[in-house]
Amino acid sequence: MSKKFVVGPSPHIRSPRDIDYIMWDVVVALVPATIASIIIFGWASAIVLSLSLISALFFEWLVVSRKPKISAFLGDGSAAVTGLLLGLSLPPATGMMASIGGSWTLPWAVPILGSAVAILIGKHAFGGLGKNPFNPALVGRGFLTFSYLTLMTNWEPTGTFVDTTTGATPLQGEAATLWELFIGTVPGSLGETSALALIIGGIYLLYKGHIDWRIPGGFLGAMVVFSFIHTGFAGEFEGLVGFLSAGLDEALFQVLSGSALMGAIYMATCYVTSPTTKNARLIYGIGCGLILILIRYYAQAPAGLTYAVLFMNALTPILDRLTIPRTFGEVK
Amino acid sequence: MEKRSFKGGIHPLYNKELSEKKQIDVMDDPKQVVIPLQQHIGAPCEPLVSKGEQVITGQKIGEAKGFVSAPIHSSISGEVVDVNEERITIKSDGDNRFEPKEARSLKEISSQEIIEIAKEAGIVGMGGAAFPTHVKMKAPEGKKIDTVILNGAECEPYLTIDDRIMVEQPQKVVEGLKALMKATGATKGYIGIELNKPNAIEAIGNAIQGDSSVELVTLEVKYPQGGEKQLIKAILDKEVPVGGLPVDVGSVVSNVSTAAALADAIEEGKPLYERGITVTGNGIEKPQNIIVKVGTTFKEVVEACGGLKDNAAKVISGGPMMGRAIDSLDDEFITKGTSGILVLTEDEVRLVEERTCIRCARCVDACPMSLMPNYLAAYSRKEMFKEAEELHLFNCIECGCCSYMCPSKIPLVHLIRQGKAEVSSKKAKK
Repeated sequence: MSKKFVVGPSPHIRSPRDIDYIMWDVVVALVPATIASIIIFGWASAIVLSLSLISALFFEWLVVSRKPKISAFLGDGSAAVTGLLLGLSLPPATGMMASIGGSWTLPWAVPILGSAVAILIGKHAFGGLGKNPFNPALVGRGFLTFSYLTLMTNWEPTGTFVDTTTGATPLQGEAATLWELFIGTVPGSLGETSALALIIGGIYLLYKGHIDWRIPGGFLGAMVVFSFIHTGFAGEFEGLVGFLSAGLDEALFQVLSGSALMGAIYMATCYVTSPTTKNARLIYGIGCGLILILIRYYAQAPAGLTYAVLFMNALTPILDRLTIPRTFGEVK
Repeated sequence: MEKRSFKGGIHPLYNKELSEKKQIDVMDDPKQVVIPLQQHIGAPCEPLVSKGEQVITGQKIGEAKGFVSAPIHSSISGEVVDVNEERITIKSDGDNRFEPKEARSLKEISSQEIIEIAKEAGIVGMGGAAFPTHVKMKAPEGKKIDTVILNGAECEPYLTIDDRIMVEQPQKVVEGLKALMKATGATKGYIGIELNKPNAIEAIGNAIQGDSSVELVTLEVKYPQGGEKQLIKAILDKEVPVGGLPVDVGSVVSNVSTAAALADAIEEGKPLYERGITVTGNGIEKPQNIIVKVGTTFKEVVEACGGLKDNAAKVISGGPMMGRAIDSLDDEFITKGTSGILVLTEDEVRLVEERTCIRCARCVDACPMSLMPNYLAAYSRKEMFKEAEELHLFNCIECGCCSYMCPSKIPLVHLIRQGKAEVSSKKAKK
């Protein structure tokens, strides 16, 4: 019995949660938002999501299949997350045939282009998974916003199952009740209108330990605090109770509308582009939320979330460096 | 029940059910033992016997050389068949003759005598590091020990021997703690036990009843709860300073099995020549807790436990988190520091390919020392040692939490360990 055994460094047991498991779990967390978008926006949503998802997987495959070891088409799930996130962040108009200036165009080529930019430039130009400094889905989204501004802000609900009659989003001044914002029966990007669906996915991610509360907490917390500050300066309330009630309304409106929840739960929490120390994660989250709400109040940019998160992405290495934690037993 | 804890750490699958209910057996004497002269850091022992000599069980066969060292004793009676620089081989005569040294009572001996007995009996830490206990008991110049903590956490998955020692020999464990307290001059003693060991908690709880100087502390089930620094943090809420020792916060930490061995040395005059270990894992036929003689080959121990299963693929000396993988059962011998033999199956040791870091920070969150394993490993790999040292490379306790959690299967703790070794050897050269 002089059998030779496998040797290797400790530890000899490993957590079963590998990259694939985590990434596909994020896809699972996006299922409620996907279902909600299909219920609310119908076939437009199904087309956009399929196009962005499949093309993201295709472009990923195109790059990584040349490396001999990673050849599975579905890969590690990270491209699926990118494709799905990008699709969910596009307006329904990108899923239809449209007539612009008298000639028919194919807006649905837009999700494919977005995925190409996200995967090829946002991710692989920097060396692939783990090396990209900016969130690929937001790189794709940013590219599309700058290139197809009209299309990207055309919230025309096409072929919806639920009655949404208007074309402008609540953030553009269209009245919507908080309940409508919560459920998602308002115009907007496909996967971003239903706060409920996003929150369900967020709770799942928190429960599974895939995201740290500090990023969405800091993000949304900053938005809430600044909403109150803004309300205070606006002065349209009576007394303390009036202030609290007006502030709360404003805060809920800001958090529930637009891409705030999508950004806080799924975009800003992207591992690769967010900081690794606990304190930096909180600062980063707060930074994202603050920039987003400042843009909403004081600038006209239609893509506040994209700016906010990409800007904080750029600060990630510095934030990490400035917040190295006090090591056990260190006297500072 | 109260559950004290520390920051960080992980919750691996414990797999203790394989052996936790198994009463400690005594293994039959091996035909031959091979006793290593060096069983711990510090200087190896000087052999006291030569080839052809007859020895009896418990006879001192190697004398400690240097300060951080402990003598070794024969674990069987028989004839010395080989002595070389590394080991002494003894062939059994089948009698197992043993003449205990003078048995003493804890009440009538002085602290100096306790230290002397521990030294003569070759008592070392039985949790794995095998640091000589008599050295630990003496506070360095200018420092004072006021607290002794017994580690009954046994946070390594699979291992259950400390649990069983506490369940089956609670009086000895408490006697050992009292001896450690008397020897060090400590006025307060704690025994920390994780909450997944209710029987041990009950047994120790009964054994310390009516003694106000000793306290049982229940701990959260978390790895590395039994890490010296983590244990002190959980129980005393004190942090051992960077680069420091428990004595810097006035305490000494010892393993429960060590305490029981010390009690045996004092009250039965028995040196440390055998110890309890856990033989476990899905790759072994009959997982159990068993007392084995120091110097027994792993092969014989495994055979005493029903042998290996066909799918056995990896054998580990110690626990799965910090233990050492061995390549063959034949030339591996039980030492005073061997806490267990774990056999993993083919399914459990699937080779996984290392992938790129996705910066998920699971390693950062898991690190019980509040380090940045992601950066430390990357710096070590790129030989950027200055940067690594600035991030407190040497505060790493090598518990392996970071590697366990890493979804990219990066061997983080291994890289950090290599970094430490590189830096140390460079410093030694200067």
